[in-house]
Amino acid sequence: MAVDGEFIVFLVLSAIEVLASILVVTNKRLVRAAFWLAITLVTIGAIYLLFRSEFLFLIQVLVYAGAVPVLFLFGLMLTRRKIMDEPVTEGGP
Amino acid sequence: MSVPLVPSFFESCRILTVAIVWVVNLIIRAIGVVIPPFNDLADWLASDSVITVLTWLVLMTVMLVWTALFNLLTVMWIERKFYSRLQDRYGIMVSVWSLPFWPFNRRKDRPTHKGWGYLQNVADGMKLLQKENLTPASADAAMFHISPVLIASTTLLIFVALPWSSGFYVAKLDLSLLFILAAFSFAPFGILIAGWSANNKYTLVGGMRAAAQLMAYEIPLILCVIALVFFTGTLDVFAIVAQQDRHLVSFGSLGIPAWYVFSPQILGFLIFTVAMVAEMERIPFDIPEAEAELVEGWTTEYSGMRFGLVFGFKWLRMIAGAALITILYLGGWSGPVFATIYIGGIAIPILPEEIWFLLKVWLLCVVIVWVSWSVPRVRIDQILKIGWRRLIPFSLLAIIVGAGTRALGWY
Repeated sequence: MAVDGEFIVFLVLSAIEVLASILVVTNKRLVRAAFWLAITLVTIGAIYLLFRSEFLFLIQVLVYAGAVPVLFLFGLMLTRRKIMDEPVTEGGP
Repeated sequence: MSVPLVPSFFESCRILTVAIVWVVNLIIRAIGVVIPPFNDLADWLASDSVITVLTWLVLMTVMLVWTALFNLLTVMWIERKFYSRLQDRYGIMVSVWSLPFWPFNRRKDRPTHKGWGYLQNVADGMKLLQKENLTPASADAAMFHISPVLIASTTLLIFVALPWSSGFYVAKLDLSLLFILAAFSFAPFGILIAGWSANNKYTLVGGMRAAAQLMAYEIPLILCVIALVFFTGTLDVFAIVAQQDRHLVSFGSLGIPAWYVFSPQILGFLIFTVAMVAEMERIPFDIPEAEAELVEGWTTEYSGMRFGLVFGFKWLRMIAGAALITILYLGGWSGPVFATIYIGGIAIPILPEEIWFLLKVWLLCVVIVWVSWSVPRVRIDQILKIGWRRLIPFSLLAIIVGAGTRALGWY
């Protein structure tokens, strides 16, 4: 049985992507969710690259990995860091 | 019109790899005299496919040393020495003459720090390496530690596609300009994560300002590239430089080069430069790390070499930005008018392409340093006003001018 290198790369990338996209919706810390969203979008771009569509890959990276998570984070910067933690605690060092 | 010093970077690295493997195989075959299976290992190392894989590793290492060691140290030295001279003082002076093994350094009445100061940054780096790596008490530790990696790796990603001459490059892509811009646009994400996760009000405010500024100035940057693409018709930086490697107006062997700065793209050049200075977070636009207001902006909580990484890689982004301006508007590695002498119709270059490119990039860095140590910082509302209400309309005008002159065939 011949081992197809591209198929293995595709499987690894898809596994990372599925894992990261599950983490986006299950993570309680919003900034980490935004980080996993960026990972998801970059791996989708890498799968485009596997399909030989270089332009689509670069546009995906430029727009969806470069700008969209930054927009999300820009909104999240206004939240407090412990906003999702239970129980709600005040203060800090 | 010049010729590159490194005609093919891959072939040069291949020769280096073969030499390294030859030396290693001498040792392995010496062991193989005693233990025979080691001879098979030597044969495997010298096989063609292994050499190719090793060549890619050597090539990346050489490029890393070239950009992140040689060019970074040089530009840091240029900045620190040059602004010291602007302020009428000597500035950094630790050099090879400051090392302790020179006999004349034993005398207490002689100043030991009397060189040009090139080794000061190496000394600072050694000091930072010895510092403890602190994590703030209630920081988001994973995110806090991943953001320097994000910033450093994506900054190095720029140099995959950024060529230093027509032969000195890692990868030749059809869409290299788009690749460079895409790699450039990653950094705000790392900056934002760094600012938020440190759990410090200064880093948070610095990250917010960085977000507002970098998002606002990436738009005119890309719009200027669109205006330029109307002229070039390609996103390949090699083709863009090749188009500029001719004379606009010739006077015998001399002439004005056909750089895009001497075309209707002058407007785009000015906007691109201003936006690029803002992307570098240098002083007219350094509100994300304004020392007088926020301690060190979003880098406040980093310590040790992590601080060195996020701080030093700003200079690497400055090199990448200056190189991008040089490639797009200032002719890249094509020499200026006096670069070539024609003797009997044969072009003889005086300096190779790499020298011209480095000269242009470093001179552009000097200009940026000069500006940033001469002008005051602008306020955050002024930054947004300049970005959204001045640069974006003017870059749209640049697109109209570029498309119009192209459609009417004036240029």
